[in-house]
Amino acid sequence: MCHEHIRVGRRVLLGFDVMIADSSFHPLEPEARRQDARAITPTGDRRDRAPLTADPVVISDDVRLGARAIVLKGVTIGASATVLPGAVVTRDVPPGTTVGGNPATPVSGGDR
Amino acid sequence: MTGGLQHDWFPRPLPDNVELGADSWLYSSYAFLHYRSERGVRIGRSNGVYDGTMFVLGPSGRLVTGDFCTFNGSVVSSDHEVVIGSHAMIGYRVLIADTPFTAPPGAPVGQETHGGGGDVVIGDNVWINNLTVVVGPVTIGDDAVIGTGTVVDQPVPPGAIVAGQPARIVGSVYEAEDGAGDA
Repeated sequence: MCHEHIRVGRRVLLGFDVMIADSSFHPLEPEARRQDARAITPTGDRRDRAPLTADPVVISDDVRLGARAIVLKGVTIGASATVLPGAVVTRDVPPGTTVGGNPATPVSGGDR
Repeated sequence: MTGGLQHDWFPRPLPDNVELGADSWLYSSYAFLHYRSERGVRIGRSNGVYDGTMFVLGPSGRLVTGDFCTFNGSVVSSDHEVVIGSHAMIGYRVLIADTPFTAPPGAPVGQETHGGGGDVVIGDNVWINNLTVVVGPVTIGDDAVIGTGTVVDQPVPPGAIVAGQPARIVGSVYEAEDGAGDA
């Protein structure tokens, strides 16, 4: 789900049902969100929508993303890193690291 | 509303006990493919029920939504009752289940439920991000935000921002400053 910029490098493996988003698409502040909720309905006026903010996502070369992994806005995944299935990546992943869980954290053990 | 939707491609009328509020959009009667409720569904005004959303209700299931709700390819599975307030934004592949062990759609009469669970009550202006699972019985307070891929099986207080697995409260929308979510 790309509002502005998602970059995927070379030889990247995107598993089944992977989701990558560079925006939250809705405001957090309650009143602005209520207005946004009305604006996106069938009778709403899209011009009333809150301005979208985006934070680019970078998936570097040779990264593997497991099935149903989710990468959220602003995240850079370093080269040759592995994201385990079902992980929700909210922070940068250093090159060569394996992360898993929600929020995703480094997993010990290395080769998976 | 009874009968069909003008734009529908699926050759089945809406179930008789489905009420679609004024100005609401339902992508297709296909949303009711696995629907056997005897208690019905009431969708409020100006809801947007978009592609892939499924209302999987057993005979005793019921769903009520407020006004200005958006379902972006979500699934509601009910053997009890799911009540959703106005301004709800329910994301892609979100599952709201008021019972942890829904029987398969073709289960014989008398075996439609495996028991357990309880009502799901979602307040006003609740935003549930993609791929989250909400398991009843549970209550989500007004203005709350649920992050991506969270499993919600504990009560969520009003305004709470909940994320992670296991789910935990990571903030409050009443303290949000920049107006942009981190969810």
